[in-house]
Amino acid sequence: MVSEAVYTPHELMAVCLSRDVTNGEAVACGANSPVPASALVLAKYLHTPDNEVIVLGSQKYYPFSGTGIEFFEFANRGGLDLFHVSGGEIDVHGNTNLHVIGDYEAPDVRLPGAFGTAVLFFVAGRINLFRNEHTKRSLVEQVQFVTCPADPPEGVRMGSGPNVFVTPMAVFRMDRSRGRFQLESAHPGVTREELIDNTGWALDLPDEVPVTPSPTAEELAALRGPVADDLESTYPGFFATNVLR
Amino acid sequence: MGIPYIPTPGLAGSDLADRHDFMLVENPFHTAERIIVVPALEPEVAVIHAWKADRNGNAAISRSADGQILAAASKLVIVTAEEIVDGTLGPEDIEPHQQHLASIYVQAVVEAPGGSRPGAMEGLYEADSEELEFYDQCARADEFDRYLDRYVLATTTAG
Repeated sequence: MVSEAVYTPHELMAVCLSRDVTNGEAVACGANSPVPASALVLAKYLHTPDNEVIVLGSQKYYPFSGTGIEFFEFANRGGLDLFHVSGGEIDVHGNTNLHVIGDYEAPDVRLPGAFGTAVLFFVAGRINLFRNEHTKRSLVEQVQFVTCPADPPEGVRMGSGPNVFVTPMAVFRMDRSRGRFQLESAHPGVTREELIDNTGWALDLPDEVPVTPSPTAEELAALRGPVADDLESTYPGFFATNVLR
Repeated sequence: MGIPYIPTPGLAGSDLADRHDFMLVENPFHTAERIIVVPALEPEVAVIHAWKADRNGNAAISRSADGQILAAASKLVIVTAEEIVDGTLGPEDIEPHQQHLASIYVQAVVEAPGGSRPGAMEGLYEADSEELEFYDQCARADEFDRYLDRYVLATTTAG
């Protein structure tokens, strides 16, 4: 009998995102993004020690000496290898909506907006997506408002765009030949039916759905130890609620 | 900054760019590439909050908020400050996390202790999460007067 590790959905999401970070990169996430911030710092402690980690809102993980604009200038000149993006809606093609649900002029819900995301989406080498809610209203076939386009007009320069997409239920990977997310794995305990019932696009599932590897003891120890220590002052509410210290 | 417009490497294909003053154009220097150009922003008025300011408008402002660029772009700049100091506040008088704003951009200075509330002012006070939550509720429920009554008008009468 193997005892099952106890962890929260956010811890698992951070671990999943951290596994897709490569050593020797400049990697970043925006303000108010504790899940990818944890992923980047976790990766730095475990397997990407040489990375430049940029967490907007953190003093420890902000390597620039100038004003806030310096991060965007650094990204624009091609320095950023990986950026993390979320959205009220994310669609199967990798488009994200950070603006409105409903009519733009009289929206049902006004979302937080993009800040510089609609530029970073183009200039970063690749984009990993995350969404803390896996429901049919969040994972949709087509977003109502395109903040970040996965497929820009001809002649417009863009990095490789959306790559991995992590939710509390699953990991998706972009199938570039079809321009659609393909399920890579379902998190432990998530059934085929739950995935189908909560995803707003038609899933193309294999007979045997692969299971996301659980966080290792080493990953959880680093996340709850040094990672939490480094980021707690930036995200006090998150670490009090979502990380089992 | 005085520039007529600025090119940006992103935005093309975003619904954000779907407005009359953003244009997708050929890059004149690399004609195979297309880029978005956006007009310069020229705010009539900018209000910038500072930790300290002197009476001429020299101010210690946030480094991360890019207030200096905002001031340079704006026609009228009002500095609100936690504290007005005597003499001249020079670039050598500010902390590492602050940026010096030169008085040449500034037309007015207002003493406004607590001017960042309910937001935070690093080193002086934290964000007021209770007020922010109430603001959030009132904004959603279309009951903004409730917020104004409790936090703005009531404070004014109480002096």
